[in-house]
Amino acid sequence: MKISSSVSDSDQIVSLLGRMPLLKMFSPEQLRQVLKFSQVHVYDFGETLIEEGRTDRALFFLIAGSVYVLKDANLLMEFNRVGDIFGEMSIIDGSARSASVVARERVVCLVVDAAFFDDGGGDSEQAMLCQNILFRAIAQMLAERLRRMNEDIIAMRAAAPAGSGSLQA
Amino acid sequence: MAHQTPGNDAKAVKSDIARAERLLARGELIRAIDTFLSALRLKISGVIPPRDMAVVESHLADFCKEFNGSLCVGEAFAALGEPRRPLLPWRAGRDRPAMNTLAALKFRMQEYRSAEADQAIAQNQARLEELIAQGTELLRENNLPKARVTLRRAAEQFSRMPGVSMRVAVIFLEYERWSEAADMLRSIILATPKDPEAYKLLLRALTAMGKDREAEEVYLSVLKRFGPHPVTCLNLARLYLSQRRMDDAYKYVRQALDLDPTLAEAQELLQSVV
Repeated sequence: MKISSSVSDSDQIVSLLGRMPLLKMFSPEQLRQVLKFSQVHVYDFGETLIEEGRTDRALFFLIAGSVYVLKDANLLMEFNRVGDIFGEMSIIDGSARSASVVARERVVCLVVDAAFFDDGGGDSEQAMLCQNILFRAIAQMLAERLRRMNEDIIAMRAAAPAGSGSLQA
Repeated sequence: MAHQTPGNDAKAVKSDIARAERLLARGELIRAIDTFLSALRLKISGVIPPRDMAVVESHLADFCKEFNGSLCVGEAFAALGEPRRPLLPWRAGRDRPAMNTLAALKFRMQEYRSAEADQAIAQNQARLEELIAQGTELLRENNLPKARVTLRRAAEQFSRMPGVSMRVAVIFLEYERWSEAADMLRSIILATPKDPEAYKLLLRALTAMGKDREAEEVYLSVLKRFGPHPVTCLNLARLYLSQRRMDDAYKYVRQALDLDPTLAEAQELLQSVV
């Protein structure tokens, strides 16, 4: 894994992040605030971004490439869209990583340190606003995933033959 | 549980690693990865006493060394377009990163093979369409010998694709090449004796060729296999009537009417028979 130096002055990254659906509500100035707590990481194919069971705390924004989400080496899902977010659970509850995330190819990510969520760069109104917006973005993304999971559960229940097992409520 | 005692876990892990090594040596990369992953899972979730752990770790390290130097791993990386580098730098006690890397390689290879298979299917489909088009054109030009060779080749070469033989048989029927159609349909019935459409088309070809004896056998086998059906009985009665076998014709037209008293053609035929 390669780590870039500070990205806080990178207009290119600010412009790229500004186009990500969940970050559209940030102003360029607010994005720079987030970037103060961020690094750009580059991973080669097969490298682990997030390791199941570890207690590191960072939030990942996918900038390029795609990743597998694995639990005990079993495939759970794949992220492959620019702006996809992962690693948010440990930011919210501080728990150990519930799954691993592995590079499916060469991957570039913006990695936001948990310190941003704990402290947000101080008590300034701007910093607090940034935290709020980012939390709202995470909440939106989680709501979307929950909605999809509900749809999957409904589809599985519909597909299960009557009286067959635990999916029957 | 299969491995309840610590000694058993260590033994099972070592046995899985040995199996993974054999699979790797045979070039069965995905199975080797799966087997090695099961060794790593067991190492993480099982109970291995410290005296065995060092041995297990050394077996794992040996496998990783072999894996990194393996020809088939190199070929897999080349196929995936990934630069080759030491893939599994083993660190004792750090199992998950290695598991993740291996799992990622496995899933990428499965995707690659699936894409390759899709491409092969598309190529086969295109080749089949080409042969069918050529064969049909040759039939249109009344070049039966070449048409026969081309269409039969299509059916034989792509016999694993569903419905190809039937498609060729239908083309022969459309161009009234009854004998070729019948040959094809007989082989379809031999391979899939429960396909009623093949019998129906074979009977059409046999009737057109005037092969009454074989047609009679086919009608009787259809009745036996699929059970009595008014139209089958009626057609068999017609066949018997054309041979002036009045008793047999009466028997089957009667049966057709028993099965469907409203069958007007059977009622008409009954008049001719009695």
